[in-house]
Amino acid sequence: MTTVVFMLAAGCASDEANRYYGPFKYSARPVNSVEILSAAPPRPYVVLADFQSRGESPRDMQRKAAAIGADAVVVVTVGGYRAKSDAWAGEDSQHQSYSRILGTAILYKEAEGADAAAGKGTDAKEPARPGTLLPGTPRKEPSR
Amino acid sequence: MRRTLLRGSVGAPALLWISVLVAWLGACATVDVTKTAKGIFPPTDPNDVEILTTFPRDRPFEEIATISTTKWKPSESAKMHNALRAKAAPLGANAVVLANSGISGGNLWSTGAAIRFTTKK
Repeated sequence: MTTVVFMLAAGCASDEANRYYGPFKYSARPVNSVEILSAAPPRPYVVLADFQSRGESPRDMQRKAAAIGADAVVVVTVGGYRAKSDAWAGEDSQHQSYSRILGTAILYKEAEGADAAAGKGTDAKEPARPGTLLPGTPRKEPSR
Repeated sequence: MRRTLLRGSVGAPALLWISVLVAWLGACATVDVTKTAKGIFPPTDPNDVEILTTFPRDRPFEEIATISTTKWKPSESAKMHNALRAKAAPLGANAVVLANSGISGGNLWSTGAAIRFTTKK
């Protein structure tokens, strides 16, 4: 019974809080075409959105990223249990547990010289590919 | 008689599982992290994550998350600090600034902010 309750709790998203940064809206893309990454890629990219929630999986982050047209989503799990038997700061026997999952949706940029090649993320005001302005967004050119 | 046997055969494993679950829960504390910054930061080494009680004045930083932990014994404050280090590092924190700590129901708890230095020391 306890197991069933835990399974139900794990399968329900809660405290879902997402942020979208760009004035441009991109069309959705197939879920499986969105890469799931565990760290920032070496390729230049722009950050399109941040997702966070409880009780979801990397696959859920991938689905959300696909819905907003992202090329990839960088998934990080945070929090969770901490075994009191772990004595070292760098030791975390409960690292598989997590209280919250984070996803950062990104768009890859075309190579634009040395700065871009450094792999630095920029904000989504500089679109990586053509998008449409979100309703209510002031019509202006990207500042950079 | 039959009912007693049945209760005995089902009850014993259930009690064992409950005991194991309670023991496991008692051996673990919990840490909760909420991201507040935008984007992706490279993970840091938990051994290098500083525990502070005031925000640094000599180094520029940005707050990247709020962090809280509970279910520690009052005597386990050092272990609690290591837990904060271990759980803040994957998000790219260089330090955790403790804002509040206390004891509730016999459990030590603490809340704070995970920060990332924006320039090298």
